[in-house]
Amino acid sequence: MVNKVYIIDDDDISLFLSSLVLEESGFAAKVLTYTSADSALRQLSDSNHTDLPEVILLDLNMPGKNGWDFLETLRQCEQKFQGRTSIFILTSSIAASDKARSKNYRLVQGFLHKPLDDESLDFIRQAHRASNR
Amino acid sequence: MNVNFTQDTGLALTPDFYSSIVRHGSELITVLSWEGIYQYASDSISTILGFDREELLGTDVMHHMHPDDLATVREELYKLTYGGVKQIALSPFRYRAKNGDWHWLSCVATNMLDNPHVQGIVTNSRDVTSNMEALQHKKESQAYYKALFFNNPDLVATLNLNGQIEACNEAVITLTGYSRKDDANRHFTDYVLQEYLPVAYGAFEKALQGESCTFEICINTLEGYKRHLTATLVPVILEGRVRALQCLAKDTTSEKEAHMLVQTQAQKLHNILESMTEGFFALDSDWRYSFGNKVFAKFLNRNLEDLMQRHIWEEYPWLLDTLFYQKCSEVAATRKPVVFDETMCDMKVTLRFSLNPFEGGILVSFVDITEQIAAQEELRKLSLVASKTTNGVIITNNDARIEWVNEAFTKVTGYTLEEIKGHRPSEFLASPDTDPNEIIWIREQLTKGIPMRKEQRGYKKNGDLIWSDITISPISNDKGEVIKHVYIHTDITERKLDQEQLLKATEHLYLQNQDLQQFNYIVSHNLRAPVANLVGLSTMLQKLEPNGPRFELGLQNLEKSARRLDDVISDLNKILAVRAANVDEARELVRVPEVAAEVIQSLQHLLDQAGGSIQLDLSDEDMLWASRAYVYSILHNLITNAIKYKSGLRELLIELTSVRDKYGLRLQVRDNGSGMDLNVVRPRLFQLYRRFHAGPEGKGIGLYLVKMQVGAIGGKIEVDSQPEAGTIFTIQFDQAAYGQQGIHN
Repeated sequence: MVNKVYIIDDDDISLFLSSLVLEESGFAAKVLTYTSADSALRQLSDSNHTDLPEVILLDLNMPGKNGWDFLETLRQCEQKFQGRTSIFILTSSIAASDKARSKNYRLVQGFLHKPLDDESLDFIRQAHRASNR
Repeated sequence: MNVNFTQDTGLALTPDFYSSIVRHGSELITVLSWEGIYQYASDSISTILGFDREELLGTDVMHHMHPDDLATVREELYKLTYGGVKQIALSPFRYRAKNGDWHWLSCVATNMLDNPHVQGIVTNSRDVTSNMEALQHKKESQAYYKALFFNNPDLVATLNLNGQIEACNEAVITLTGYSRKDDANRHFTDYVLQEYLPVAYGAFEKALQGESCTFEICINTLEGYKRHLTATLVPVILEGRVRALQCLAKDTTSEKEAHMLVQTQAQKLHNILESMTEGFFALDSDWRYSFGNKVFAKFLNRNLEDLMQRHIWEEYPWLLDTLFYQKCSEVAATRKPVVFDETMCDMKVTLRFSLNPFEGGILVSFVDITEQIAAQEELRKLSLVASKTTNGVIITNNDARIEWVNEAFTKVTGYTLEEIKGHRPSEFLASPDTDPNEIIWIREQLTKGIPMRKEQRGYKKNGDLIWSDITISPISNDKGEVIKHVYIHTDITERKLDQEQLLKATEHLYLQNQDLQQFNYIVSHNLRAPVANLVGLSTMLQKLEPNGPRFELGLQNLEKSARRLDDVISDLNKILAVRAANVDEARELVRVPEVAAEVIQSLQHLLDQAGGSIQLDLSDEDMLWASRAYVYSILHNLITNAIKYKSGLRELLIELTSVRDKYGLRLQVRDNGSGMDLNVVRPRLFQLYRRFHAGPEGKGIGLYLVKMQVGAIGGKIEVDSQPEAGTIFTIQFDQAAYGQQGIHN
């Protein structure tokens, strides 16, 4: 069981659904939701290493800063998250180009399609474990 | 004479004996009285002078004397008769013989008047005529010699056998400038120029052998001038031996120089004739070749020496049929020069002849103008092409100013040669808004002789737009200097407009394609988002405790997701409607103020809720040839956006204004709302489902639709915004789009 998960998504229903799935499965001790990349980034920059979430579920299609912008911002301080935080893209997009693009970011450990389900959670667990080994 | 001097015969010295001796001796013995009257004459007078003794007796001796000698003889005789001189030898005098000839007599007269036996003057005379003549002859010879030697106007000198000059005449002194003293015993080689020494020695040796010879040498004068001499060296032979050499020389310097001048001039003339590119030959009055230069020989491919003296008409009988023959005859008759061109069919050339009469015949010079004629013909054709071609042609001079334009240029642009001659082509070819630096650059290229090709937008004289393809070729002279430019001007307006149209269409297609890709992407995403939620929620609901608070919330979200799916589908419908619609058919004259009023009315309640106000600054003239529904939708969307994103810090104020100018109609929707950071959002502002404000209100379709609709009725939309400083949307309709009149144009 992971300690802390962030969900970043502007879609309120999607946020509700994802946190519901996490809670029901007992995946994490703490699930924090952010409706914009900016609010999540603020929180992350305020956190020290131990406060950082182990898992971030990131939506791509958001107003203002979107998922890609978020990833670009994090890339500048990648060291801080390396070995601690795994980012999983959780999107309704089914475009292959998005998946390919996500491979450019080292912090991204997986590309998941909405809705979040048990199968996806198993994948996150495995991938996260692998990246922290 | 008949005297016997034999010793054996005993001589009887009788008076007869003496008398006989006297009478018959060879000497002429006479006795004169003191008055000079012959008293006696020996018989020899008859032998010597032809007189009989008796004839003379009693005559006066003076009557027989030469008048020139008379005085001298009389004086001498006087000395004898009165001077007390006994005997006197008279200088020879002339005495007339009976036959009238003058004889020179040498006479010794003895006064024997006192001798009783004689009582007279005895004269013993001898005929010395031959001596006197010899003497006279010698005198004359000497005079001749003197005349020949000293007074000779030519140069005369005597050389001894060593070659030293022993004597010379005045002419030598004058010519050489040396005085006699200088000349004394100098060797002839001192005067002769080095290169003439062999000749001089040769002649000298020959003369020593007794052979005279004539040769030409050159000597140096005292003052250092060269003089050419023609000299003859003559041996003076006496008694079979060469005693000396006589040199006779004539100063031929001026003849020589004149000759050399003539030769030089002849050579020069020859060189000129040979260096002439023209063929040149002379015919004598018998129509025979008397001269020809190399060009001429080469032209005929004949040996000049072989050709000389041949009769031209016999040599080339076919010439008799030519104009050349006629002209030659004409010049021979009129003695006036002529120039003419003739094509020699037999030789396949065209020649330009120039015939000039001269004393000895006719001088013919000719030049092959075949190529020139061909070039002229070519030029004639070219100028025909240039003037009649459908392409415009401009020729500029070395100052890059128009020298000539053809008819086609005038026809296409409306500018006549008279109007634009002396101007720069750019004044008529380039539109006024052409970058001046570009024109400067082009001029630089042209000055360097670099050919150019350019498509240029410009205006005709009547103001119509014209697109031209301009090819500019520099024309250089022999030295490689650019002296002219030829512009080929082709009207490509139609093609250019087609091209522009095509470019526009391509761009349109490209954008549309890009649009479609984006549309597909967004739609799939946005369609899928509510669907994914529906799927996820329905899965979860099955797991949750029914009637629990989470189940309830899940159910509500399920319904919300279903509605969103419905919204997306409805949005899609709207978008597809705009895409599919044939806007042109649906166009009508839309009065912007009317539509704006309707929009405001429909949004009044939202405005009131937001506590905002709207100000209109529109004119009744603001009309668009457009789809009314689109104009409504555009204004509705922009004003809704302004209300939605009002600033929390200020009271909302929206301004809707219009500006009409030469560029068309410009509509502006300005608010004082929260604004946007364009650096971040601009690239995606008008894209589908891009929202820039978090919160429930926006779906990200409004601006996308606005842009599509503006585009569909021929406008362009721009945005200017800053965070917390408000937003301005500007919609620009071009002239052609905002009014009916524009459309019909």
